[in-house]
Amino acid sequence: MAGKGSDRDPIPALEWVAATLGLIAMVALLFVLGREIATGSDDDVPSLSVAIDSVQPTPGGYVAQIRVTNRSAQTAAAVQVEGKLGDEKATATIDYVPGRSDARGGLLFRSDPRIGEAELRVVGYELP
Amino acid sequence: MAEAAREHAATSNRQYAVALARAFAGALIFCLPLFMTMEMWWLGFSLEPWRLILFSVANMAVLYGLAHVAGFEQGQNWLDDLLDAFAAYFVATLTSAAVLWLIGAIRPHMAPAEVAGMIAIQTVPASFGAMIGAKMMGEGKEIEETEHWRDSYSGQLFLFLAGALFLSFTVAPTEEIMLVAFQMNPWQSLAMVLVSVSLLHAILYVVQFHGQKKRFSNSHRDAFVRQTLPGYGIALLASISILWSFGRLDGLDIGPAALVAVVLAFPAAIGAGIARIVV
Repeated sequence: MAGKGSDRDPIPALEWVAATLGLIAMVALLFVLGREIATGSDDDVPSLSVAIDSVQPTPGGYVAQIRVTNRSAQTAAAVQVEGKLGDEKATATIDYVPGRSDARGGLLFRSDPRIGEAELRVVGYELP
Repeated sequence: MAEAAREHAATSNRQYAVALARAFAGALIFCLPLFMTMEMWWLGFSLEPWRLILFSVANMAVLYGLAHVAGFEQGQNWLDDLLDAFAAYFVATLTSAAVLWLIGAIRPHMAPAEVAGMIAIQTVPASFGAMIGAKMMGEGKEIEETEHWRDSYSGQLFLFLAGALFLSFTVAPTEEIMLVAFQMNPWQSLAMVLVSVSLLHAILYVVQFHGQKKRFSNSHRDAFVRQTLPGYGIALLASISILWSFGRLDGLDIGPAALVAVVLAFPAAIGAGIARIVV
């Protein structure tokens, strides 16, 4: 590098490119997060519902694949789902259902939940 | 010395590409433990978005300071330092997004805000790693010779902050910080403060690590008041700001909050002590 004339060397083009990409990445992240603030005017209560996606027979019983949907912006943790089918009861705990997102899990029954109506509901959660 | 400055400053695209590659390595090395910490993934969506935004913006200020004091290439003026800060941010977002996807933390059905939050929080330590990558990989001598802000008092205080963040980051998101704080009795907390301050002073002035010899000019008492105490104060502030950003202080009364801050200030103080070596 000896023999440079000026004591302030030019900034390489790649530096401008990397910095611009960094700026774009930052603006994009802040935009998505900022939009969340703008739309997240709900109160602090997660709005949770649960439904069966599909049912699959397995050696351990019928697995009802469930999907918990959170319509509020508030994340719920340790979400407990309870399913009743006749006199059978099955429970599952889902670690996190983030705001406006889905999370999945499974409930196991001895008889086929497609015959006879399975009754599903969220019975409790924790705030993170 | 002018020669050393030229060696460390990237003036061609090729040299800058090498500096960027080092930044990627730094981001990866520094962040590996955090990529594998599930609390970090959860923080991305359990934290309020405004807190993530504030954390990201504050991070930019620290990045600029790091570019000024060390950086992955030598900044020649404020513009160069600013560009380096954004370049480090770019490297960090790319690294975070790629690794989070690779380990299955980012999944296809996730909401965009959830993914953005997860990347945004991981990007903070990753950009820190990107910035100090060159220093971690052995360019220390050149950096020390060319970045003069390091030797001013304000530069030293900033180095305390950078070192404190460096060491406390990897443990701050874990549940164990809270657990440790509440399993200690008040006497142990008090002892932890004394141990932290003493260790900081000892690392700075007794063991004399590389790059610290020119520091010791005055008496121990003078050094303790001018360096060690402000250093611990900065370590404590760094701990409180990280804990607050991670929502760890929410709902805590001032007493328990202080206990938690003291626990994190322990690694932070040691980090402040070794700041000149790692940053």
